[in-house]
Amino acid sequence: MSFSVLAQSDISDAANTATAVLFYLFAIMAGGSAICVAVSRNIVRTAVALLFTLTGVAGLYFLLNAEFLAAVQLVVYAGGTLILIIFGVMLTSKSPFSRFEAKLGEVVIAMSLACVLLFALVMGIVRTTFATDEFPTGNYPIDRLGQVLLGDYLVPFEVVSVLLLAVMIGAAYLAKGRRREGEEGAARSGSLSRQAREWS
Amino acid sequence: MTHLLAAIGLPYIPGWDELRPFAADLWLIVTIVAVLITPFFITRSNIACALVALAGVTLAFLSQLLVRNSPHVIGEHFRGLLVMDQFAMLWKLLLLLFVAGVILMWFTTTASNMHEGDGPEFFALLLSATLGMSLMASTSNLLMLVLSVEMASLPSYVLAGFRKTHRIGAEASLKYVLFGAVTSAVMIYGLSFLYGLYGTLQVGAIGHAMAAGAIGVGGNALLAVALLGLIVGIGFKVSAVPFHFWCPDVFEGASIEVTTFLSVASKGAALVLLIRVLTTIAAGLGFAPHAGMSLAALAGVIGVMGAVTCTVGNLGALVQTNIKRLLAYSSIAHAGYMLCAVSLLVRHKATIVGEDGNSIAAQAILLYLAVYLFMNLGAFTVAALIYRQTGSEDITHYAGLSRRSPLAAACMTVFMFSLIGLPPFAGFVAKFNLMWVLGTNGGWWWALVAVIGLNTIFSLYYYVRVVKIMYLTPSDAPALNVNPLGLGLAVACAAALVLLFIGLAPLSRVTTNYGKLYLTSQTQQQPAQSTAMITGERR
Amino acid sequence: MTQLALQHYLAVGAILFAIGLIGFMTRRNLIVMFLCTELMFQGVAINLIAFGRFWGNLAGQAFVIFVLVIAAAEASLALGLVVLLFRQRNTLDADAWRDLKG
Repeated sequence: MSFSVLAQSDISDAANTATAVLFYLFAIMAGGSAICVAVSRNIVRTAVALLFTLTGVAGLYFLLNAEFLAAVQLVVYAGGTLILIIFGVMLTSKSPFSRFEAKLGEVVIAMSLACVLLFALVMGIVRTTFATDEFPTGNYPIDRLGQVLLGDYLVPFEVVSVLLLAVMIGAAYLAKGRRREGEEGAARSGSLSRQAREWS
Repeated sequence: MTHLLAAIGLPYIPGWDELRPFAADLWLIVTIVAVLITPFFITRSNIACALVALAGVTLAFLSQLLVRNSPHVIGEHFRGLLVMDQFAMLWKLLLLLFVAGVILMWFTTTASNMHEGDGPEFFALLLSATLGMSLMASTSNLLMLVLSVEMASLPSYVLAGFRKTHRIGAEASLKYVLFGAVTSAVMIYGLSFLYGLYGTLQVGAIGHAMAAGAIGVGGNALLAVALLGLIVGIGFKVSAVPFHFWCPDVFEGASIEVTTFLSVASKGAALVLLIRVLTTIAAGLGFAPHAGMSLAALAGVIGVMGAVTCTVGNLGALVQTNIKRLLAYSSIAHAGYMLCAVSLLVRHKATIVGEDGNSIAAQAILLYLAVYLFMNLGAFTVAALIYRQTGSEDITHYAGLSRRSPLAAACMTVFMFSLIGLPPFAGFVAKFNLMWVLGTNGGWWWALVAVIGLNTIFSLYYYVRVVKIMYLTPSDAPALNVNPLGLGLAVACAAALVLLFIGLAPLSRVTTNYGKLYLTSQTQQQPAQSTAMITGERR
Repeated sequence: MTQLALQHYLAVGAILFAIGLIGFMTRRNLIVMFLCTELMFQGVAINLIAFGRFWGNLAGQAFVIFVLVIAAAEASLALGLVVLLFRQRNTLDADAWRDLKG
């Protein structure tokens, strides 16, 4: 059940302890801020909490020897997607931090359902005897990952490029404004739309 | 330079032998690019883009026809990521035929309303969704599965909200995106356990690994989670109950050719994918009961889901007065019928023999889709023509249609009767074939036959109501001068339905021939991903 | 002291996934609902990488790269729609949009 690859038991123990401490640190960081995302009433706070979740998950990637993905997670997700989301928040929160929440009954039902699911999942995970509990030794150098992406997974790599093209076209289409229709909309629904048009 | 190449190894460049089976998909990609650059050369770009898209789809269809008998087409390609067989081929042909029909329909409905300059976006999105649906039939790898489903879904989300100013279009689209994102997260979570339990992404290898080793009590629970995730993800695309709620809203909010496209292509692709994945896994298990992986239970879940789906769809349709919502619920019901047939496939051994044996259930679904395609294309075309003239999607405005536009009314009657499954139209062939297949397998499948029969009686009410309004309700509204191209398309679909009924034997022979799935045998080692293994040391 | 095994990582993944699901079902702000789906995707990614490490192949990591792409693509589409809808109606309350009969 040793996580470390080192042979000497005392050094191995020290490394184990350090890894375990880091694991719990990152896990609590990810989980705690995830709860924050799910319950916070302030949408900006929610977005910031998600940043901490993403960072914690990136830390877990490091512990799993997936350094490249950890870096990608920090750069692309925390740095890119989250900024996109914050732009969305800023564009839409004119009366900031508005609170629209579900009824208590719905919350209770959803919570109990999800808790049952979580319990079943964790029980399943704990009771499963995987082939071995030990992680095999090994690291995942970037060049191997690159070769796999352009070798075994060449087709998904190409397909995803078409997918990104399509999504880019789609997102640009959805977001692009059109003066004529904006005026029609304003004429239809009165001052609300006009306001919206002014700040957009 | 050579030193560097030696150090990193030669790049993997797929040869023509590997690309050829997917000529249709390659043509689709070329067409997407062509559609996008068309407006740089031609000023009236909407019509030009439609023509380019139509030409591309036609070329893809022809190239698929041409390569179907070439050597080395059947089998696994691209290191096992994609598989090509008769089943996938027929689905691709049907899909491309259908998309060509949808583009023709666009000329008669939206061509004159669409904002000038939106054409390139619309057709690029339509074709990329088509590409995804075409790849869905060929996936033999969990990663390709996820990617092809997303490739089909993401453009569909935008297409559903393409009429940005429509009252509910954008809203329905957002609902579709949000629930689509959740169900795809659930699906990928499930698939991650499938990978975790067996250590490979190849569906065939997973099946063999299931047969090889037991995974304990907890492992069985995780396997159940994995399969549940898959069923949730695909069920959302098929609009199986309880994941059907998006369907009527999206269908009402989208423009009518998008509705048509989603009603057949999106659901058909998801069903085809479900058959592909489950049959491959079942073949790995040798279609035999196995500790921890009960194919009979899986078949039961899908069968019950199908029965509930068609009942809910038909009951929901009873109260609809908007033709698009009515056809949306009807499409839920038809997806339910087809799901019932999927339940057969994961269990029965005698239907699939050897490496690429015929699958009776795959045959039933291909036949159903081949017929359903014409029924829905035609019904939506007539609805669109009437909408263009009257500006209403409400079926009460169909009053007196038999006088105002006799040909359109006659076509609509054909489609309605065919959707019920009455002879002498091809809908009867499809439905009867499906029930026959279920019935001949006996056992609890008789219950499914009974459910389908009962549902046919429910569905009589709302389909016949449309016909009744058209022929019996008097109206003094003026005659309609419907678009001749659209009417031609509707007549062609109606004629196809009659001809397919007469040509019943050839049609079922084609679908039987093409109901073959390529399945890897037990002894065959998995070729893919051997290079992905890490041995521990940096090379 | 504690020794880390595969199960620890899977448990973190399951917790993130479940929190995301709870959040999606209980919140009514569209952007928050969307962020909750991102949480679910994070749980998926931890699962995949842990299993990849466990089996000693790169399939898990390659899968995660594509999952990241898909999540980003969904984010851009959903936010485009959110902005579009907000322009139309000036609210982000999912319950305010009940023109749809469901």
